[in-house]
Amino acid sequence: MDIIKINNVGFGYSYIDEDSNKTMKTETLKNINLNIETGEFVAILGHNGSGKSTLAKIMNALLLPDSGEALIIGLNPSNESNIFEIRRNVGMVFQNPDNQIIATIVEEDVAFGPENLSIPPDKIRPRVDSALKNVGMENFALANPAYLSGGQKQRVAIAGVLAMKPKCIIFDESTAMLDPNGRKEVLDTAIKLNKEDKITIILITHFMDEATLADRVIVVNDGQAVMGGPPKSIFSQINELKALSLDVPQITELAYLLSEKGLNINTDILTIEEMVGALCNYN
Amino acid sequence: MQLQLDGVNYVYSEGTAFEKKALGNINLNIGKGEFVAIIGHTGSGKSTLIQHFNGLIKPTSGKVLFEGADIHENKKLLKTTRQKIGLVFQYPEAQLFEITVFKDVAFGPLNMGLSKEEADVRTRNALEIVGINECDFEKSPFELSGGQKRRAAIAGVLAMNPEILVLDEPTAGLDPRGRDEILFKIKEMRDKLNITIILVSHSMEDVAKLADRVIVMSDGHIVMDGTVKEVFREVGALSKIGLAAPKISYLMKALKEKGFDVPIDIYTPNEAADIIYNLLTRQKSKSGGAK
Repeated sequence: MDIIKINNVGFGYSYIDEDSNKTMKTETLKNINLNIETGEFVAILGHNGSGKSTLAKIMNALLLPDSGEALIIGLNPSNESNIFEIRRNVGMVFQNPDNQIIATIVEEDVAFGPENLSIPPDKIRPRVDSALKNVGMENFALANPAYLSGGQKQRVAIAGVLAMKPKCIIFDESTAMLDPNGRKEVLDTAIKLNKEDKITIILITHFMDEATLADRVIVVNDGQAVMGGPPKSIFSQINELKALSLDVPQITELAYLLSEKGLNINTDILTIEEMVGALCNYN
Repeated sequence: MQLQLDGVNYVYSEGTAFEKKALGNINLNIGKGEFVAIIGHTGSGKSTLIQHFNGLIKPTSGKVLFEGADIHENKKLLKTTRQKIGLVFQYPEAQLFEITVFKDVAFGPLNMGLSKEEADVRTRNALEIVGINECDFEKSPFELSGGQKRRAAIAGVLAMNPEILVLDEPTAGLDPRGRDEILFKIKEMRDKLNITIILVSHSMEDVAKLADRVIVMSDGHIVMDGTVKEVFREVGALSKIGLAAPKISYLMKALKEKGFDVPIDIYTPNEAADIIYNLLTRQKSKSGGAK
């Protein structure tokens, strides 16, 4: 079953054209089509301004399509009575951890979501505890978020989403501001939530190495989904990706360079282990 | 030495409950024209360190010397030092504020008291160096793409004609092309303008590609200081403090363990491709040399 269906969705932001003084609209999403299956781990790639974040906001009804249809957990966000159900089920973790933490104590921040859903207090406590445990932050329940590292703050933000018991979590460049350790913490958490708790994960990122962890990669360019498939089939198309301002993981780049030099090496190699295997068995 | 830190200690909120030692006994010399990368995990003291370079933070004890003079000796010296050592903060595009790109970049030089003509020349030069086209000069900075905004913000610092340019995570949040453009421009600035570059980065791949020298910070101290090859060779020590070497070096190490005759201090795909290619073609010509 598809948890998210985006059919021919168009979306633009309004602005006032200075020359004519008329209200105009950008063409940020142009009849984009894509489906995301329940339980999938999907990475979305695309250069700055390609429409990735707008797409993410359509997916949890922060924005509504101008044309076409979005169906999220089977519900149409254009019907206002569906919006809360959609947002409860599709959580979002943003880029800057400091922009999404609102309380002065970690557990209060995590409780904010369920409180807003009018869940009775005695039911909130177990949700908060289990959400913090799930992201490995249970020892920081009473800490002040201001004193946490970037990776820890993002894990608190994830716990805040988890406390709403979502079916899907969208990570909108949630690792962009983190150091390598922080990035690993967030990614490990995302993988665990996908594998163990069967939560659908949508990972929007500029780090090609992160995208190799996904089941499927979707490339967005100029408001449309232009490529889609397993990481191996996407990253072996190095020239197409570079033309879209993207890149490939370093190991894949090496495979490409070797095959350019005339060696018989597959260009869909993503990991060090695969590369070592290919070189050991060369000839 | 162009920039020298002598026994610098820094304590945040000294004398309060939040007292925290951020830097401990930092001794550092940076020479003219060097390309230095500073790496370390979040909270290791990198940002505190670079804010000492141009006197935004005064050391609790110890000295910061620019061209031999203590920058905190008097106010005048501090002011000129700040003009000569340009600091580009993280997400510098958040500091864009003027109505046109050109005015934004010209703000610094005008504020320094330069004439309009002089400021115009510097602004043009700076925008040219970072690769902003003339047709974008009169645009609002907010109409630019993410990578362009970032480059416009860097131009604002360059227009001050700094002798040292310090960049804190200049590529964070940019797509791969935006990242490559900025890095290429930084390298070009060093080569063409012969200014000293100090780059704070979380990307070991970028550091390996660009820097001559790497300084590793951990827990407020400099724990390593050497060439790219010297520092990334210490994979064990790096991973202990939460860092990693560039991915390619792990591949070379794995190959070495499998018995391939390869050097392990290789950090970029291009270098690795040459070495592996030579190795495999040589093996082939020796007949039956497959591993």
